[in-house]
Amino acid sequence: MNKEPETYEELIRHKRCVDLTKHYELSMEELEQIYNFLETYPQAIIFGSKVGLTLKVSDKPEIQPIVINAKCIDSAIDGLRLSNVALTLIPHYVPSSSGGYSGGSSSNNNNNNNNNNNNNNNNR
Amino acid sequence: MNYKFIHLLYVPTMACNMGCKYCYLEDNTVDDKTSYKPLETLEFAIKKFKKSNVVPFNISLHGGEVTTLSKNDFHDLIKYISEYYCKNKKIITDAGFKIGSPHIKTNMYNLMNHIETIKEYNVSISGSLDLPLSLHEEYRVTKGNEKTLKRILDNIELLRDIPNKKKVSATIFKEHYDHIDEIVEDIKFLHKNTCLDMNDFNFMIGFDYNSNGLLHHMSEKEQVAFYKRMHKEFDGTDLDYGVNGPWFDEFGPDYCTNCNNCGEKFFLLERNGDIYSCVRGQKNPDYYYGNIYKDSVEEVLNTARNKIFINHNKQPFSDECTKCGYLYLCKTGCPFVKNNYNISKSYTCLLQKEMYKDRNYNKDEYNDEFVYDYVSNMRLEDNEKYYPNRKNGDYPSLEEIINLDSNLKYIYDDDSFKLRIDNSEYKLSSQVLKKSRDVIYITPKSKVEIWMKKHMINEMCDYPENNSLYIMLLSGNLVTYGDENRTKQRHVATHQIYKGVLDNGLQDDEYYIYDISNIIKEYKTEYSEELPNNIFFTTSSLRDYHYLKQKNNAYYHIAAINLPFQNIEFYYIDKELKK
Repeated sequence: MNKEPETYEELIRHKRCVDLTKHYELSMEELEQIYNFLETYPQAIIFGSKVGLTLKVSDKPEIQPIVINAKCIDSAIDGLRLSNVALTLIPHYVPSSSGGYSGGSSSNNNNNNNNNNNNNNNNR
Repeated sequence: MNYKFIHLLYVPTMACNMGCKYCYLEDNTVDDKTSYKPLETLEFAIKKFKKSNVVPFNISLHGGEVTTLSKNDFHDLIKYISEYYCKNKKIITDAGFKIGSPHIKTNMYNLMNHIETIKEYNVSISGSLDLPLSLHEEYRVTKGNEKTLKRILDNIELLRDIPNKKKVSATIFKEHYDHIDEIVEDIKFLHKNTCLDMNDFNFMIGFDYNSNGLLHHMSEKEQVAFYKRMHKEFDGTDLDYGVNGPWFDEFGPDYCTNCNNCGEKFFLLERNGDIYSCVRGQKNPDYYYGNIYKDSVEEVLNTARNKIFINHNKQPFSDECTKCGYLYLCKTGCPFVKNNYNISKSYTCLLQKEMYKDRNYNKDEYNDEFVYDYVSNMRLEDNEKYYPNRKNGDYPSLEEIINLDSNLKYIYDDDSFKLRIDNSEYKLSSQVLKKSRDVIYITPKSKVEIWMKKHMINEMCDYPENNSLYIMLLSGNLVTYGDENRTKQRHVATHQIYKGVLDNGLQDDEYYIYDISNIIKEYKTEYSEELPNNIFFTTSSLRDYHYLKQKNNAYYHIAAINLPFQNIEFYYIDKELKK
């Protein structure tokens, strides 16, 4: 993690770990641990919850999961999954029991429907 | 000051003067070789905890058997705890906890040796008996196999004039349950003839762990039958309060067994400094949290939370628990017992449900939301699976609108597009229907192919020759503009690949395959490095139908106000850009 990535594979892994810090409070040692885990196990999967990260190997149940207590600092998510293939973000669900269900699942606002074809005349 | 409050069981001695035939501690009821004095470890731990702002709101003494301590050691410990409560009264009560008297769990066999201290500090006593008492005589004997009941009853009598709390508990196994009539009679006997507060009595339901094969657990049905029999006998009597309260409180929502993570609150400290979860986990490495003399408080707390988390996750999350409606009270029960029996839910599940019903605990109206929250915090499971799907009451949901208009189907279909990047394949779903966001990483070396099912070119289209695969690239960078003054992802490029090109290009039986590596690469300077960028896929005809539907149906417009098409988010990583 500390060394300069030399291949695109290393660069992506590096970027995945850096991106984790957008969502969780992690020390350099913990990032190093995550990087090494992803590097060691191609089938590694990291589950992020509201209270921390769990490092598992999906095809090796005999490997005891590693739990890292890490504060989730991104209020827009309830968790994530990170593997050597993808990062999946679980957007925050606002409970209806405390009022104001958010609806929708994406925080992206990308209704670029007014860029052509004059088809944006539908705001009744 | 932001304190963390914990419940601390202190085991000042592992020694026991009895040799109960089913004792879970087996050969461990002798004192460890330790140079620490009984008070020394507790004092050390309390000071060390306090330095880390950890405050026990309750300190209870447990064994071994605490009354095997010398009079002086017992006195000094009780005095220390009593003074601890006085000194910390404000901190503890300000946090909403009650201050009690020093409390001991005891077999009561040596109680007479410590009556003066018990009186001086009004020590709260929680004794252990077997019910029926005939089985007590059989199982709870001294190490020399002598009976103990008479001396224990005599000792209880010594407490009569002390205004302390004095209660007993009994653990019920199948062997006890088989004598249920006797149990009823013995409860009445203890209530009538001793100074024990039998309204404060409590049952524990035994589980088979280290009982030397002597005892067997009751079935869940027997547990409920036992509970019902107690109600039949004692409802409306002067033990009505007990049978509807403390007797079965252990299975209510206020106990350690019903915490999300008991490792955040409950600790057992041994005189040698070892810390475990509780009496159940004592001496078990899976429930060992560290040593107060060797480890930092932070390490102990982290280990505790992590071990309990892992212990809960050794068993899969039961589907039954997701539907029961009482998860908010039960939290699936004690991890120790679940793992002991290799079961996913509480071993007293039926009994708990019966009790919740009798005590007017409602099933959770928002169970789906609680389950999701529980999974998000406590399980290794994919929480997306439990994402609540509640609809806004004011408008029809998008799913309902799609069901009513089959023309919308392929705008939202999650089986029509897939993206292949080198050796990885990503199925694409509609951005507004899926519950999660997939983010991938693309480099200049990546081979990126979009696979579109061939029939898509015909959907909602009179002249497929004029139809195209429609690709929209958006930057993660945001821009605010227009009459709405809305902040949106910035549009980067739109590409349309017409049917003729798709027909002449790569394909298999089912899919058109189109390489978009160069399209993505072409706009590399436009992408956000900080926020995920976005790529959407549909066809020109489906896109047109989407906007037509928006024009004609305001509910649809509201539900699909953001681009609804199949998408994936991405970062573009270029080594040169990185520099």
